[in-house]
Amino acid sequence: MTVFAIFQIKGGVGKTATAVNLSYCSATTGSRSLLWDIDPQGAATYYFRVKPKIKGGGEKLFRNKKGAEKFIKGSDFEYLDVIPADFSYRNMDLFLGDHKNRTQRFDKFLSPLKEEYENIFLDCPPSMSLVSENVLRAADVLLVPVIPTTLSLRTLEQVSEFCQSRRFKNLKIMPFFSMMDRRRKLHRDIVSGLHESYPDVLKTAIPNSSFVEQMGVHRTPVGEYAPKSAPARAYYTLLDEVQGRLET
Amino acid sequence: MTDNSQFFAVSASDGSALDGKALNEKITVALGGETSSKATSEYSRTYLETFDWRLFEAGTKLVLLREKDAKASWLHWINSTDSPGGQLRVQVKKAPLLAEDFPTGLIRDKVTSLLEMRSLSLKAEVVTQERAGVILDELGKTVVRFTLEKNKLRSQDSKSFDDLGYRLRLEAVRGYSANFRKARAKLKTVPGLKPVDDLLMEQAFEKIGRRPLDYSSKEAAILKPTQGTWDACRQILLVQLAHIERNVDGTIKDLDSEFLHDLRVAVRRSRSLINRIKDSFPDEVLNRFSTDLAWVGEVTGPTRDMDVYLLDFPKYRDSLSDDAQKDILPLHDYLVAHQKKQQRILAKNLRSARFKKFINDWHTYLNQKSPPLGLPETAGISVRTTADQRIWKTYRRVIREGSAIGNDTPAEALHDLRKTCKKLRYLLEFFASLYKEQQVKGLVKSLKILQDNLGVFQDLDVQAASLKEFGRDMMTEGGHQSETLMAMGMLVDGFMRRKVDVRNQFYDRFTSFASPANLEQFKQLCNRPIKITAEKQPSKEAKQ
Repeated sequence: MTVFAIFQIKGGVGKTATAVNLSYCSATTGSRSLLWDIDPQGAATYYFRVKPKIKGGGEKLFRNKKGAEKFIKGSDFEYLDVIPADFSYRNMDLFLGDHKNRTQRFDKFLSPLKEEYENIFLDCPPSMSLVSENVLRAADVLLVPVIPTTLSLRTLEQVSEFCQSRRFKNLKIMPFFSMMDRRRKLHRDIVSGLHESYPDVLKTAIPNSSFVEQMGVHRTPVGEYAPKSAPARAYYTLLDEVQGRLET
Repeated sequence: MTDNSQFFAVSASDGSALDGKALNEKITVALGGETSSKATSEYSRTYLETFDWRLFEAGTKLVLLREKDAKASWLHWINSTDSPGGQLRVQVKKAPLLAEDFPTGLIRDKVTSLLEMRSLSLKAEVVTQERAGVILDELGKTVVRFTLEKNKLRSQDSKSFDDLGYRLRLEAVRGYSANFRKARAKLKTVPGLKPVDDLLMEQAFEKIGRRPLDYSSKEAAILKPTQGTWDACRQILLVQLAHIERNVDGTIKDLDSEFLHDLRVAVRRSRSLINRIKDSFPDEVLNRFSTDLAWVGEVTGPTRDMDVYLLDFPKYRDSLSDDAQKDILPLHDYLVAHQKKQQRILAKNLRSARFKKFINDWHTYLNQKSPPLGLPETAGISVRTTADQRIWKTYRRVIREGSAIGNDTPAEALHDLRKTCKKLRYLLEFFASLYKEQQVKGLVKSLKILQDNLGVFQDLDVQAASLKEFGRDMMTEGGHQSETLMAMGMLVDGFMRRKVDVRNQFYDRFTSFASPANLEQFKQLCNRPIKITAEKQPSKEAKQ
């Protein structure tokens, strides 16, 4: 099992769109996949038409002796399940703080699912908190969406520094460009500059596209209503590149 | 019926079933609420299974799905303990044969421990036309899936089909079991729909002449205590002969190493029985068939030896350092080449007129309904009496031989003891149906612990000797690096060190088997007088 965390401190960079579409790509190419919507806003949960509700509140996730089974919902797509968001997740830092090994709760929670899922995707809220520390400890791959803007680059550096300072075991950081507009000179310049200074940045960029924006209208991944569109194809390419990099 | 799915047979008399489409609409109406259905699709599903039903026993199905005109197929892993929709799948170009043929991933991880060395040699195909649909909740979310299927079974010669008619499959979506239960209850009230079990896989295998669990190498004859010895032995030997025959084809085709293994075990068991019960068979019968069985054992031995080394090769390799692991690889090539050579000779022998005649004549002899003339008098003794005597005698021999083994006793004595233990094990298994199941099981379990120790000791001894021989042979063949021979030397060294450890464990293992408690168990089993201990004997004072 590989745990992919889609993580950025900055909001509005396409984290949820990435989590939803990558988990869809993963399931449709044969891997049994799970998306856990950790963001209390519940956008990923909304896109999958699942009710944003965890019975008993988010705290129950870590107190249930039977593990995650009770909270998992099948999506509209075979081989893709969802653990929905719950508004109580906004207090997750508080109830994680009450536990022993408070930075390893996510890891413990996901561990029994290794037998069942090949890929798990975490749609993370935009913050740097105890939740983030749990995410970074549980994840194998940190996918960091970066909009080609100066502010977004700055947050990438902050994420990298944070990960280096905490020495997360075996965590692979893979930034990639999101909402990329090739018609804009600034975007092109930043992309070519970052590839030079940061060779770990993935080659695949997700284009800025109205097809992605329409996800809210269709409430489904792009691949379902616009399978031949540039972003639909880009998400498959991105997953392919990430998995290829993991194999090397 | 499970909590995740329900199948319904669709009545043939229901006119709308003829084109499926109308029935689909009828079901949609019955389920109520909002539904959505997809276009019809056609695909073939091939159920894959091992010769000895390892997947079925584990509650698992492996199904290869290929849509009409598609280039690639999906291999589906379905386990009865899965959560709704919890199956796994992986894309493959063709059906895998061995665990190592599976693409890396969860299915391969799961299948490796189940299959071990066995191949997926059983294949049964069903061709399906289906129309899938879903029930939606108020958010437009899929909460139940349903599929109307029309299935056809492909025959063994692949030329004809058996039409199975229509069936409806209702499936739960994980986390929405209440919706599934509601839909199931509604469909049960629809005229023309009858809840049924999912027997498609069983029907498909039946079409190719197999049914689940119809083969097990552990199958034993069911005997009656009063049955004559000759007749009971005939029945046991018939079971062994069936095992030999069922494994011939897979052995010749070399589908996996277990066919040959099972064939050889059946031959060895047959020889062992004949030799234990010599006085119940006429001499000419014994001579004839003992010779033939020995011949089959002999001509199948070299291939089995190579199979064993190849099966153990990963273990050998992993016991070496990283550098030596690369150096040892030419040994693998050598083993593969020699296995192929021996396999060709073996296949020729199993196709020979001599083998066919032996099987034929052995059949004829064992299938006699009543005892033939000229049988020795002892052949008519009740099998229970014979079994008691033989088991007891062999048990005593194990104790005698084992007790004579000390620290300085040559290895041959341990090898002889191993053979005697094997004879005792076979006798306990052949005649198990004559005794209380738990009693025999307990004794076999206790014997097995000793056998494991002796078996490992023998294997290490033989493997070390064989590796030396392979090394000499590889030098004669030429073209091999000295590093390979050095790596083989390291393996031999490892075997020798392990052999010392295993021999040191022998005393404890044997003492445990030779315990007074086991002695009493064997006495009880074989109807021997049980010594009354001083504590149990009433004292003179008590009698008065």
